[in-house]
Amino acid sequence: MVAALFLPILMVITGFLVPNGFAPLDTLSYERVHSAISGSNIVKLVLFGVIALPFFHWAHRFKFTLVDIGLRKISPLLGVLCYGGAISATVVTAIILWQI
Amino acid sequence: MAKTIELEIFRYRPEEESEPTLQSYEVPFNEEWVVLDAINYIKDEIDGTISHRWSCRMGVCGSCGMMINRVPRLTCAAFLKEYYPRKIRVEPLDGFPVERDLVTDMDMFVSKLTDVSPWIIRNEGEEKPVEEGTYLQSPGELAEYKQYSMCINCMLCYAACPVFALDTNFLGPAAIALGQRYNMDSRDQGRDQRQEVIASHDGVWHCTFVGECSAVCPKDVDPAGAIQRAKLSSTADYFKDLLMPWGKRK
Amino acid sequence: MSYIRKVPNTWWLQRKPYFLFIVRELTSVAVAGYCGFLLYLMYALSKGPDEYSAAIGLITSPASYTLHMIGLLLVLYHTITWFNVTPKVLVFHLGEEKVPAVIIAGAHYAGWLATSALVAWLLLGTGTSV
Repeated sequence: MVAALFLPILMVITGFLVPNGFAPLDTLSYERVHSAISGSNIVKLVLFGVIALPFFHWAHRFKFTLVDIGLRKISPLLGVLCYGGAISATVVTAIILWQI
Repeated sequence: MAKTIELEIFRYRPEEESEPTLQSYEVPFNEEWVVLDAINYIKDEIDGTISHRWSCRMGVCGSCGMMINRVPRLTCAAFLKEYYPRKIRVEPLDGFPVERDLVTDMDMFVSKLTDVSPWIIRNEGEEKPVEEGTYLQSPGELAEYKQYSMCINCMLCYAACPVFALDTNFLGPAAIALGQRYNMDSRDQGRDQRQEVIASHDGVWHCTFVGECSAVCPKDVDPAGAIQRAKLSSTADYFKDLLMPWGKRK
Repeated sequence: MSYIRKVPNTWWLQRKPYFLFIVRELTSVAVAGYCGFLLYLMYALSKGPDEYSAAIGLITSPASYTLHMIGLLLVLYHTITWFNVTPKVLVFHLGEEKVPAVIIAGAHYAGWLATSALVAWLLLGTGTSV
């Protein structure tokens, strides 16, 4: 749900609008982004949700897709790798955002 | 010369062969014929050794479901002219063991149906005595589950489901839709009891929502929808239990 | 003896709906990939201005353009397939009538539009032109 709602517009902005000059030049400048994030726990929390939650979306779908297309035998291992990966990414996201 | 159409029929005769084969038959092409008519023609006029199930010829009994060119369909509702002049390959429903030719072993399916306790369950002591009459229900309450009660047990949804084909422990579309049919019935109180089967790993959580079960359903039961709704309400249960462990589910 | 047919690992290549299902599920790779990129940007941000400038500079590269293009198509496919099935999960009755699927899916699309507009406004609308 988070991925469906937020990612398309973010990709349009970082992939096309900003690099092609359709957006104000300082949109993603260090000063602006840093000051927006570092001072606000609410912004950090939102970013944490937008960045971390989709990893679980990936873990679940990717694991079951691999199982469905023939890796049924190593399903438990895939579960550890995928969900473990998502949990690690979540922890890393939290630590990084904390340090900004 | 009269037009003909080729049918490739899946053959498996356990006393003769250890692996199935395909056998071709040339049958008259008749605009009004369905695939079942063509199979019956083969059985009556060309090769009496073919085994297949059928009964009503009108999309009600659910007996004649087969794979037609890899898609599960009722053979009584699939017209030859939809395929002509291409040939038609007829196979037994995917996912089920084959007993003989086009006949599958459906014990697995029948036991899954009974697993969901598909009858009205009342709490102990809340059963109405017969002399007090029937449980009343409004048209709105009927509308809640009516769609799910239209299932004719044709098993096309199972044959369309890759999850079931890969792991037959999966409870599967029709059985879950049937469970939901009773869960959503205002007269029923057995949801908790069914949840043990429906909300289990082999129940709704095995479903990856391919959606083909609903696409092939001849009665628009929408088992995929029933499964997703069951996932949602099971998730709601989980959070209710987590946040209010002392609360009792109704 | 009943005969049990094996499912080939290529089952999802044999019919279009199955193929589209696998594509739909694999859009999650693009989702994770992009979040990984966002995470990298945050990492660079936490390290300081020079690191961040180098990281954000990547978005002007042709590789970034291509990856964003592919990623956007996949992520859009995910959003659309997701919102289109919402009426299956969320069923409401008004009296005896079911709330039409178009309205439920439509509400999600409207929410998507509103969220996108909000994000665009927050990121772009409040920036100062140099």
